[in-house]
Amino acid sequence: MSATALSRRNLFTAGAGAAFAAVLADAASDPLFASARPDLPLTAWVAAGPRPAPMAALAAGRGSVPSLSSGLPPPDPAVFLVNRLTFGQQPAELARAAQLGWDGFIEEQLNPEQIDDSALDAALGAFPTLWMRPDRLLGMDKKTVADELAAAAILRAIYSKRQLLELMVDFWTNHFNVFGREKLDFWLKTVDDREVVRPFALGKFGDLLNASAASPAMLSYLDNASNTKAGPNENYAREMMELHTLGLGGGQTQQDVEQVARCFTGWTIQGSGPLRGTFRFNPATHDDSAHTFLGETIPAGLGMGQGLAVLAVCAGHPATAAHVAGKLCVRFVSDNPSPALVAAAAATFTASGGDIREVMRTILGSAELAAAADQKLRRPFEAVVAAVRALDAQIDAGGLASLAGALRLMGQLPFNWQPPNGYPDAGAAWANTNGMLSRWNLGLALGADALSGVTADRTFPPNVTAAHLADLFAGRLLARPLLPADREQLIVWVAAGRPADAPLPIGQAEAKLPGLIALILDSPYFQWR
Amino acid sequence: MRPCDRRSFLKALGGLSLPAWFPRLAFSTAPERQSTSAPQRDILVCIFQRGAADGLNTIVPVGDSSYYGNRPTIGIPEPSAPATGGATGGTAIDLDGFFALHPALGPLKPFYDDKALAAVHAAGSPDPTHSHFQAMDYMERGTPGSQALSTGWINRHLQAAAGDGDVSPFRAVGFGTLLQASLRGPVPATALQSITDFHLRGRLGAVETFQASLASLYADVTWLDAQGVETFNAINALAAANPLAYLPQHGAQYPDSDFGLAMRQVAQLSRASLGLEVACVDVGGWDTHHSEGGATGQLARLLGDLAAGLAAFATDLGDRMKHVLVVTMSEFGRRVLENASGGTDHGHGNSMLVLGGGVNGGKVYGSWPGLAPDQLASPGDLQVTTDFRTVLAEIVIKRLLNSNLPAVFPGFQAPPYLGIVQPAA
Repeated sequence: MSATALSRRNLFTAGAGAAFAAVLADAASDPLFASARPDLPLTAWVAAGPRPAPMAALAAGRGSVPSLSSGLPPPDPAVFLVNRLTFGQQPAELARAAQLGWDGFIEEQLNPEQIDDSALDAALGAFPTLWMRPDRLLGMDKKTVADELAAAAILRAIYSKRQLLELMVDFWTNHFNVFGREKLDFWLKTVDDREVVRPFALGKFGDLLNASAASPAMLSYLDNASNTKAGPNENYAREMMELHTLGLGGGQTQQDVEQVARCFTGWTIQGSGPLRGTFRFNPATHDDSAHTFLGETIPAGLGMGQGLAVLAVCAGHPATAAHVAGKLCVRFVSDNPSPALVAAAAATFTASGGDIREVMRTILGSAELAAAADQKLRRPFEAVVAAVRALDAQIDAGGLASLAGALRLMGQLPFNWQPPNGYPDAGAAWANTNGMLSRWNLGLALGADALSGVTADRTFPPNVTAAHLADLFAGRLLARPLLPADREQLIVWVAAGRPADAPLPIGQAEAKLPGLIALILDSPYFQWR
Repeated sequence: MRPCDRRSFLKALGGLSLPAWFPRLAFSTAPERQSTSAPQRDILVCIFQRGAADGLNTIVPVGDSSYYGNRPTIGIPEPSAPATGGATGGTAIDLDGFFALHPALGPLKPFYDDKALAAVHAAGSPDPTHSHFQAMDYMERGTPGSQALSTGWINRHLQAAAGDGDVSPFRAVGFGTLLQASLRGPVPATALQSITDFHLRGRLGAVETFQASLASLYADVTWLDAQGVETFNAINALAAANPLAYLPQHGAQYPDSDFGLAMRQVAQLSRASLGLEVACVDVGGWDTHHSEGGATGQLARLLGDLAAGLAAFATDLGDRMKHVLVVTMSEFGRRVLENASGGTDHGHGNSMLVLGGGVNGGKVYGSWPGLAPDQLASPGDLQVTTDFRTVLAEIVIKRLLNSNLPAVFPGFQAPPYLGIVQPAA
């Protein structure tokens, strides 16, 4: 494909897979890439350096490139990788990826315990409820507790150096969803986040599952706290199998649900004393007779061991490997991952005994990921965080509240999804008229510095031209090449009738900057992870 | 940035070029149609109670001798019972001697008496799943047991009913941040939360130019461009029609809740010249495994909100209800026997409500399967004796004037209709 033939329409109609791969292959020599941001350091991502290793595998992966096409020239592979492994590119991570290379950057992010995150830890000191024991938490104002947890999630997503870990935390937060604004979970979701989701987010799936099953937040949310021998409550048993482990069609029947519910009778929450709000197994309300499910017998007399035995069977079940691997592929690769990739990730899941880090290594190291640019729409949370990161915005405590308010309106405030299946992942769920408009209005607000407590880096050099200003901010916020016609639109907005290459009066540059930032954040380019 | 003044915003937008469909649409809406003798299609309002509503405590079978034994703490006292349980508790409201309304549904009783409201009991999906997500998915696709079609039943209806190229973005509206699965498909449907806020926010004089520039970035033909174009069309159509000018009439008092706000906005959209044909409204919180309550409590609060919103809507629209039909549904019902948590687990058969001027109301439809142990579906659920599609198919044919049922509910052999609605006039 020649550079002159490159247009969105050609890309769309030429057969997405072939066109997409061809564009990638031609990227380094394509004048479009060099001309879009001529004066930016980020151009180095396009023109310079050896291609990261997975690019070699790209040609072989053409057949599996999903059919969705954004019609846009793809980002440089390293920019894409950073965008996919973080909550949105920033110069520091781009530089780190350049230094470490494709595999090295993945490996570093897969080992978050070796990444210093002390600056974030210090900032989190502003939220004392994050570290409180359950009995103390339960004495706090519930809205304060829930708001601090949501603010901390936003802060971590923006500032953590352990970006992949934070993406995994977000994934498991939704996989093991607990609605954090009802009943005891105003308080106890904070404990669940601290002691269940975060410690095991890159650990063993079985450990995570066990911790979740005994998490007071989950026991309250899915009603197992009141599941007793005298009156079994099926809610947790059903959702644990359908959503947390086996998946729909994992082979479980209604009878299995009833039997599993009985295995979990007596798993409840301490109601009083210094251990109030912690897990409690109550033998008096546990049905300790033998139970069978999925053809296996859970022997009588195991007490709490009955529930643990159920969890072990579920964690090691092939249906669980397929279900969890499939969801991770959808989260990190595309809305329609190939069956081959899901099978490979599931095989790693089984072979490694449910080691999440190993499963992620398989997924992130795949050729399919390398070819998956513009296959994942940013959900509202990702769009907000990526915008703040790209704008290098200063946030104060009020700013976190502003961002939380914006996320509530956009429909994705953390810990605020009521049904047990977690926020939807696929782009089709979010890209409706309301979703488009609300993200456009977010861009307008950020561009105008109209979110209280959120202040973007709006610096630009003196004597800038319209073209310079457009290129400068497109580079900062997108770090990816634009189609000439789209770049022209940005320049026209800034120039407002003046020549594109003449120095702008400072007043005009400042007046046009809010709209320019909004246009870039609201453009199709920014909507992709 | 200062908030946009609505009136000047609209005035400014008036200069924008409107989509090609717009002028024709303005002359093709309800008032003009009324002057002809051809029957007029109802506006369909589809309310989905997410989480599996307890139909047995909504339309209460007080005449079934097994009801109270199954519901020792959450049963709704029969109409003749002395009003214990405090001033706000109350007893069920008799409908026909066998069924009675939950007391929180009291605001709907006048509509039942006026024959504008009917109920269907033991309705639901023939698929036995007890999974919320699978059941909702089947119900919204309109294909129980199959996920072969990716489109929703309402979208297929809109495709089949598209007469003369009418592509108003407000033919179908879903309230909320996510579009209802029943509306997904090739016919554009608008998702919105608030009519008031459905515009780009910015300084006057600048925001119009901004919108034009942004539109030029969504000028391609990809999937995301199409979402953008739909959004611009909806913004422009809403600004031109200005539904906010229509205030609630006849003293209607909408509840101060998400549901109340949504119903109020459905009424506004239906009055504006926007070509509204279908609106979908979700109301959540029905998964009452725990502390469901009886005449008061959790379910009573949910039903109270539902009843207040429906009653306000019907009051507000008044005579216009002749051409509006509201139907409620939920993915399945709840277990007949209450659990030890004072709640109910996932069940099967459920009740539906149908409200509108074209309804043969004042009646509870359906064949009652009974609540005795040998009358239940496994593992202790109300049987489904009326497929939810039987109710919807009758509405689609008689009230939405779409006879292409095989397109809407493929593979469904509709049994004789219940006669729950009259043919549209």
